[in-house]
Amino acid sequence: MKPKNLALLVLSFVLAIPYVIPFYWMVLASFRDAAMSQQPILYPFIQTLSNYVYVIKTSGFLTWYANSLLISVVTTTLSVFISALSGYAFSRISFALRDQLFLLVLGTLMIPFPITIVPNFILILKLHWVNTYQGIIVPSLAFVVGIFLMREFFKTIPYELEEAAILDGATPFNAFLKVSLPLAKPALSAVAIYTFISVWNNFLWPLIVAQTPNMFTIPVGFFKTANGQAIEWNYLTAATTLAIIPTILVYAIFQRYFIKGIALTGIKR
Amino acid sequence: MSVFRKRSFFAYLFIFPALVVLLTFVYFPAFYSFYLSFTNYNLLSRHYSFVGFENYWKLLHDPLFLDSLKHTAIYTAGVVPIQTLVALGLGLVYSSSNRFVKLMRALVFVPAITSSVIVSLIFIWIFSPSGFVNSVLSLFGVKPENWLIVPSAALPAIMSVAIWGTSAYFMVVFIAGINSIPENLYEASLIDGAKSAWQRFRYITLPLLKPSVFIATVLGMIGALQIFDLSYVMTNGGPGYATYTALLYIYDYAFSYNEMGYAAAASFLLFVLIFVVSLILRRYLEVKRWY
Amino acid sequence: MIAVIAGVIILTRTPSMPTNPSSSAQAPVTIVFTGWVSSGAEYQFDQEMVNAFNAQHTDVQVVFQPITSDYDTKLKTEIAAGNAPDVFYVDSSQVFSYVQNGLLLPLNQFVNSDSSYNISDFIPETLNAFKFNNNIYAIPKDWSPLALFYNVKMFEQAGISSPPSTWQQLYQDAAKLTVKSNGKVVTYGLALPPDMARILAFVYQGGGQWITPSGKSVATNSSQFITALNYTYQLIQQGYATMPSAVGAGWDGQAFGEGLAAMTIEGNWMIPYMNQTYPNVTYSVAPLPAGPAGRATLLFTVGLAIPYNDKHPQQAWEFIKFFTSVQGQTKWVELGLALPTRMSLFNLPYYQNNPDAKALMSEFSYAHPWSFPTANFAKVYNDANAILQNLFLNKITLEQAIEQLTMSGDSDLSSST
Repeated sequence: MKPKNLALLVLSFVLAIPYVIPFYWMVLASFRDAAMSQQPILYPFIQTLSNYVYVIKTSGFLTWYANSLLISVVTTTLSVFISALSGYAFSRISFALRDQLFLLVLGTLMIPFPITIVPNFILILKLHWVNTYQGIIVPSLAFVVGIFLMREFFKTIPYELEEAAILDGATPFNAFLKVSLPLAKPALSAVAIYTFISVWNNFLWPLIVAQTPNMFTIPVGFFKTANGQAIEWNYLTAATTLAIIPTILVYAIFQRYFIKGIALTGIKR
Repeated sequence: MSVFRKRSFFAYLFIFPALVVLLTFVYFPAFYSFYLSFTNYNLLSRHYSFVGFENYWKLLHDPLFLDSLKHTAIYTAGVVPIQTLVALGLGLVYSSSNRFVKLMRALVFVPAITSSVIVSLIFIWIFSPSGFVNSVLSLFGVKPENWLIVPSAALPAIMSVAIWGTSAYFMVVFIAGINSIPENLYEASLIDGAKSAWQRFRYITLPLLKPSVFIATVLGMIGALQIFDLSYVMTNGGPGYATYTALLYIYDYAFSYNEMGYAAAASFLLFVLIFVVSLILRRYLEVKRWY
Repeated sequence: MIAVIAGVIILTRTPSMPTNPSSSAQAPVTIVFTGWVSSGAEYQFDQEMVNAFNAQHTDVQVVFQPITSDYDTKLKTEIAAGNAPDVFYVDSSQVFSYVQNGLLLPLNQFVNSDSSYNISDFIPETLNAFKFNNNIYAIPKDWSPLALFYNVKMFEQAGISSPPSTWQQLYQDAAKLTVKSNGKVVTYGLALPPDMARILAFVYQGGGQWITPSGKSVATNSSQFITALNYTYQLIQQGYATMPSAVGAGWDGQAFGEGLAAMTIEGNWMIPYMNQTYPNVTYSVAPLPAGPAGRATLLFTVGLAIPYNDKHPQQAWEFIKFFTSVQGQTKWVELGLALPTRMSLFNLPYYQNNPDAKALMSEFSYAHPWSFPTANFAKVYNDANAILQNLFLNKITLEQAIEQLTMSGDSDLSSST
């Protein structure tokens, strides 16, 4: 068994290299000044921290960071809650039109984003939500994959526990809140990560909604700064390094639940 | 009876928020888009009128639109199969529960969780005349180029970035699938005479992964047909429209030329394309026991 | 719960455009001014103008809210939403599409009733870029031509004593200035992007034109146009000129600053850019070389306009008047960002003492406005540039390029919306 195991370990290391190298270079380049950052980067050394200082002080980076953070956290929280509520209802309660409504929900996956941009834009225009947080957040709130995941998950939980709570006098909503939700932590985490990361990285919709720099999220801000002008790689790499930290943190912390969550809802059935 | 009705009420209440958002921001726009596609609505004009199928006619006769569809098709046909294969391979390696492997897996995942804009910017640098690709190619005597402006290389360059960026995402699907294959199936196959790993793979793993392949392919295809971020940031559809994809075309007409009706027609045609391809894939790839 | 509260807090603290329709004499009317910001210096300058105006007026106060990119789309969005600013920048190439849709307030009423404003002081070409059917739709606030920026040191090293003044000289100089090392080109003679906003200067120098005065067709298959395009194409083919992206530069200004090219064709904005980003490069400015039909250059100008349905047109005009007055324009001339549109300012000491600025200023008599009577400009421009790109990249021949430019130009211009 040993040689086989070793082969697997080596393979897993070798395969990971191409995925990590560009980031490795990027981080290294962020510690070099303008002239050096153009050279092929082979060995680590920290030449200067001034790129980070510059990025943080200028270019509105902090504002974009704050915007991204705010939008991601709010959207994720609301979205997870909505997904949990809906997934629960679809899995637990049998009500008229349940299956049809669920198909309706799933059906939105079929509708590609491009078809919705133009009318959504006109819609938020009329609502005077252009260049506002709610303009960016509200349209992304119903995360269909999340609803699907939560529904699958709730199907695996025996409902005797909630029945017991309801028989004890709790309202269905309280039963949901106090009993089912805490049990759903792994799935909730999976949905939370997916949502957080995808909202954080969202580019097209915030690009369309945001008009002035104070409303940019990180991807939009980066694009606007780099576009067409001279790209100063030393500042850009410092900024990108800072920008990927939250997603990496979120991923690192919730990683366990991430794969577990998918496996749970899994392809089994 | 009354308990049932009360429960139903809560059910509707629970799904209400999701339905409101979906109806308002997905279904309504879809129908409105369809409606707009028959008008000449322009953001600036204070009046607009019904033009019937004129937008569709113009679209199907616009060489640029047809080109953008072609680029999108090439992109999808290239990216999806390779991406699925790579994801399958990665899934086989990284489904192990070994701690080291899991750590490596976390690294493989980093591109997938990075914003496409950031990935694009990093690769602009990598493909630039002084970037990594050229330093490697110069060892073979190839003259340094900005690969993103070489018309024949630009689209393949973007495709490789896409595969690099999202293969980990689909790897997860395969990992979940692989991990859900019961161990005893493998044991049974050993007894039945399946000696090599390849045989085990071919007769057990692969067939049982069909649902995963289906999901990865369909999701991959839906994503690939709507490619925007990478081509917008890396090349903005250039050089000379060589990497102009369908969604770039829609974006330009809607937001640079403000012809919303025309853009709506284009997006509807794209929707039809996606729908048809999904149906085809479902017919040939789907395994009944999906749900 | 927390999320809901957070959501509510966000919804109530919406940042949005403040418009204060107040007709009472006590509270000052607030108007919104917007523009794009090409540099930190321009941003500061605009803000200073706003502050100076606010200090001098008690009945009107201006708020500056720039839009830093995708300017036209964002502005059109705001107008469509009924949220338009009171005063905004409008580029001469875009103004026609606004005018055609009736979105701008004609300013004749203000100009004519105010003799101190002296509209005849304005350079006619700049004013004409914003005049249609005898209505003035915007006041040009500044302008810039294209000129030849050249690296003094490289010229010395190549033994060239003065900048080229004809096509032939430009060609020869570019050849001399292209430096190779180990078989690889280290410096090109000229940085030239495949962009109509540069190539068109050559077209005019050759006696040709691009979009015809009717705004409905292009003259890209005339012999003059072909000669001009071929001239630039040859420079690229022979390797004496390069596209900025081919050498990894974001634009030709960067290629010039990095020393990848000895010459480039740019406008006023190069001066502050070079001073800030490449202070160690010694360069000089000369008028563009003359072609077969003589000297020509492009004139880029930005105007200030008021939306057709503005609630405070009088106050908006006060600001425009202030910004474009003799005092207003004198203020920023010295920033070197752009040239003033008032002819009375030509004799300012700044121009006497500054040969580079003087060179740019001297081109106004043969500058062609970058302004065309078509609402489809963005499309024609994008399509033309894509074709130029393919030509410079050798993907198509010159004949094919001409054919495509003609076909797509005519078709884009005649498209009805």
